[in-house]
Amino acid sequence: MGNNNLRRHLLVAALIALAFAVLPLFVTERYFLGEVIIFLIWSIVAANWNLLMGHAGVFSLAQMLFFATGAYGVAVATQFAGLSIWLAIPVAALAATLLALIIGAACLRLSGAYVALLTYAIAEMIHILIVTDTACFRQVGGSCLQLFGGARGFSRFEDFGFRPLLKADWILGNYYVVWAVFAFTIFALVVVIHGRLGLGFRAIRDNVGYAGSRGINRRKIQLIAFGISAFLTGLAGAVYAGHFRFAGPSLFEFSSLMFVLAMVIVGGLGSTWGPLIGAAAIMTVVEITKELGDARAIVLGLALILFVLFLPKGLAGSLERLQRATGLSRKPGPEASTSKDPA
Amino acid sequence: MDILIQILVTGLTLGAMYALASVGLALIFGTLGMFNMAHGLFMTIGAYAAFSLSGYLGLVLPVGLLIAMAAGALIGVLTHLLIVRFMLTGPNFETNVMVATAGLAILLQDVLLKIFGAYPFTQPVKVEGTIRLAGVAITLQSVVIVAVALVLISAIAFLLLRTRFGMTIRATAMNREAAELMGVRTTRVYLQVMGLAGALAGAAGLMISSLTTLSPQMGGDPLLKAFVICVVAGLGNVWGAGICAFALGLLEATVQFEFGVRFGFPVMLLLVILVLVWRPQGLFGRERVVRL
Amino acid sequence: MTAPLLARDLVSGYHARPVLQGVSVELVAGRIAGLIGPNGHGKTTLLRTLSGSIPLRSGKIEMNGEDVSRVPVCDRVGRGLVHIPQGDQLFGDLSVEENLRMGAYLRDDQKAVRQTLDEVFTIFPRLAERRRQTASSLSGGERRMAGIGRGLMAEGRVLMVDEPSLGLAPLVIEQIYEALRQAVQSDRAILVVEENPSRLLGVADAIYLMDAGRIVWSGSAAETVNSSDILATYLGGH
Repeated sequence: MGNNNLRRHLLVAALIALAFAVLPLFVTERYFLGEVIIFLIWSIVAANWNLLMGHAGVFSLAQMLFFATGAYGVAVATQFAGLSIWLAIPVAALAATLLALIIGAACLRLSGAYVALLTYAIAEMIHILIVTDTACFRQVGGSCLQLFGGARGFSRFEDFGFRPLLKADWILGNYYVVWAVFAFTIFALVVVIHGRLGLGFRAIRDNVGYAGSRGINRRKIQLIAFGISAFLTGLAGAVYAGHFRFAGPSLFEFSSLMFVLAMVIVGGLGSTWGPLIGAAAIMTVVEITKELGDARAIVLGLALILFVLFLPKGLAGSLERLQRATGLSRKPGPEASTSKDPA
Repeated sequence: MDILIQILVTGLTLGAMYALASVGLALIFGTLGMFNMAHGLFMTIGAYAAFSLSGYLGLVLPVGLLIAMAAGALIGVLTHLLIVRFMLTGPNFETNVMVATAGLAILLQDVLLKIFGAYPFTQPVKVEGTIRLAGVAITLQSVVIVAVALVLISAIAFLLLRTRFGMTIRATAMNREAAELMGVRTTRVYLQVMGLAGALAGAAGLMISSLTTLSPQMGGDPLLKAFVICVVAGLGNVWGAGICAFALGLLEATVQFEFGVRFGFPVMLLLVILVLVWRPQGLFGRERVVRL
Repeated sequence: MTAPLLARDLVSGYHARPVLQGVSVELVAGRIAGLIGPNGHGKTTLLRTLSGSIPLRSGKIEMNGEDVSRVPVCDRVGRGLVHIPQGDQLFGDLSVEENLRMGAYLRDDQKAVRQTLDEVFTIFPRLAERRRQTASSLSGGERRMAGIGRGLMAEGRVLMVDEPSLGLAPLVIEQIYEALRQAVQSDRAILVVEENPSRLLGVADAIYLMDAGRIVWSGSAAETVNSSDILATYLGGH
């Protein structure tokens, strides 16, 4: 059954990747492609957070820190170390992984709420240190630039370099870079969630003591999940920086964290495809409410509260229930109820 | 010597505010097993309530304090009635309630921003003037803050340890099901605890705003400190939270003086992580229980 | 006269799986009823359903003729239904005396409470010695005494005790059953759950035998003695 599941989800991943690959053939409007790029990036971040929180059972609040590490990594490597952006991207993602492994080693001895609080405190601490940094690292154009960009952050640094190459179609270049990271992420996540590692996740989530007696080491498995999640999230942060030519403290403010958290919760914590649905839903709702004035925080706050209260399995859970009710589910009966991955 | 007194005063003042903030947080965690991410907003609402209502009711401190505590208690009770109550017995309560209260936090913060704007008002409810101690000028407000914290925390300790009401709270925290079998209406105990912790948070908010200024996000920093204090004390350990608050306040004041303000929190956090590597359940903690 | 506790066709359980499949019992004032049966067949679930800790799916629970099926746990206690749970469930960080006082939580007359406290200390002198110690520092037998004592503190008309003899030394068991015998003197109705029926013979006035979520046999103490073959079938020859 596990293998079957894996094959089915790999097929879904291939279809999703294919759909986004051919999308620019039908839509060429630059604004819309820009929105899809943002959607792909937030989907990666949300899906990786879901891997950690919904599957591996680690309630980490440092998700945006890893995203920011990816972005800052690109900014610092291109601005100060003179690295090419194509080299800076994997370096930045590795930096995020390393940071995650250090934080994980410190936090994962603890459990539940402790992990949440500590990861949150560490992310906030780094945020505060960067924002309050005023020491000049280098003079740039007559003004002072801090090692990590200070309160303003980095902007207008080297991007992917498609502008001279593709002229008016430069955004297509950016699009396919982000798409590549997205496609890689969803395949990787399906393999992790529905493969051997996912089996370990389920074992530790359901019963820590039993898993321990079967030779499954909770800390080790959660650390691996932490590393994978941070690597892919850092990758997303790196291409974000390459696309927007920006890396700054606003990337890991509390409100950004809540923005992505809303995607995970609305989509469905612990599902496979929920975060993608959630990212689309949240982005759409926020876009619509923009017309009504600045209601973003209120919308996100309400979404978090209402979904936890009334739809704790998120939209993915509702979809699954709908599927089962209409008899469209491909695996009926008891199997569907034992498997913990809706949609 | 002057410097030592200065550090001591700063540290005790910080510690007093942290204690007010974290004792309520610990009380909620110990009783309901819930981590209240909206606790910072409880403080902010207390501060704004004193700011906007004491103009009508009198700018004296006791009135302002009562308003702040009443507002904090009210928002605590409402949070329980409208959100927490419905998820208590559901699966994944620990995660869900953190998500919901975090949602509540950004919601309330935005509402405050829309009502009052981002302008950093000064808190009118405070005591002016200074006293001199061994040649060092100490603001009366610092003295007030420490005194209010000590009085309120002693009152809470008395309540928990010496009254029937407190015994009921502790019993419910230790074993909810057994408490129900004694005839305790535990949903009401939870409501009372949320009100009590909210009142403490409101008082903390007023004290904090009197030292800095009012702003919708003013609760963020003290909440962060309270998080760390509760973690190091062992979640739900009320007594330990009080002690750790003062210890970490003194530490922060020392580090700020020696290395600069921006390193106060990082050093504090680093120390906390070291403590946790050594004792994963916190300095005083075992499991989640209201411990005194 | 109406029964202090009457349960009809109870169905209840955890999640999707019903454990009780239509259980009826009736308790009589001044009598001890025994509930026996193999482990894992719903004895504890029945007590938890009666006390209200588990919601009822269908069926009806009455106290003195009044329907309490939808009444929350704490209000059933207010009506005199006391459940002494399995594994004692003491408040570990409270002292023995505080635990006992929690048992009288709903009683307002503090003078009468103090009198009951003295009575409990007379029944279990060990608890008087340990009154200032925290409950978590007690031995297994002392815990059970504290649990029973805490249940007695409520002065409820109906007492339900889950496996009072489990894992205890014979001397302590004797003491605990003596306490139950005394309790029933004051016209209480008592329901005692035991896995081992031999404990109840000579104590219980009526016996219910539970198997797979149903009462499969019931009868008076005398009938029980004559039906030892039935008991042997279910319990494996005690």
